[in-house]
Amino acid sequence: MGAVTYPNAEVAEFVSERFVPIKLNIKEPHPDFKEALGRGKALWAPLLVFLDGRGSELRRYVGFLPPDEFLAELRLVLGLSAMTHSKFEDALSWFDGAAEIYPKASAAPEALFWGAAAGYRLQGLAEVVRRWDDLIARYPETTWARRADVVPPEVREKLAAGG
Amino acid sequence: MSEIQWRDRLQPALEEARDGGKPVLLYFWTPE
Repeated sequence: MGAVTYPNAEVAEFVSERFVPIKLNIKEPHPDFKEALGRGKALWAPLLVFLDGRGSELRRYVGFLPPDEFLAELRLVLGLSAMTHSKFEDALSWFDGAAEIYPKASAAPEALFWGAAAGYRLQGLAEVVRRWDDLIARYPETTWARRADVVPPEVREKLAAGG
Repeated sequence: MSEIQWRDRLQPALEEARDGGKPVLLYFWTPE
């Protein structure tokens, strides 16, 4: 990450504008290390932990991410952050942006999954079904498509009938 | 060229995050 991703100009600009970044060497003692790590452990590096301003964990990711994958991941985190503040339109914008700008990123199908959750909060059940169907069509082999493939036929029939 | 300005303490970063409405990115790394 330090050699490839963080020096990338687009990454540096996006992180600087949208996040408060802290860097901790897992091999060196640091007074905030335990509190920063929370209840988890640093089993491998790089490890990314995203917190909101109250210190609540939004997301945790282990392993290297190249610039485009990382930028998609950051948009996903911003969407999750907006969800925690009940800013569902903002969340939807971040989730949709992650999937539209970086459709090949591993975060893209997850962003669509969460976009459906935000859509549900804004427009109800028909919207989550519509968005999950779109996710399943675009990323059928992903775990996120499997997680979204839960709508029973009777619910679809009810929605089709206008209910 | 822009460069990320890494903070080194948690509580000031959380305060900055609250004030700015931004999430905190904690990057645990190793030089190896």
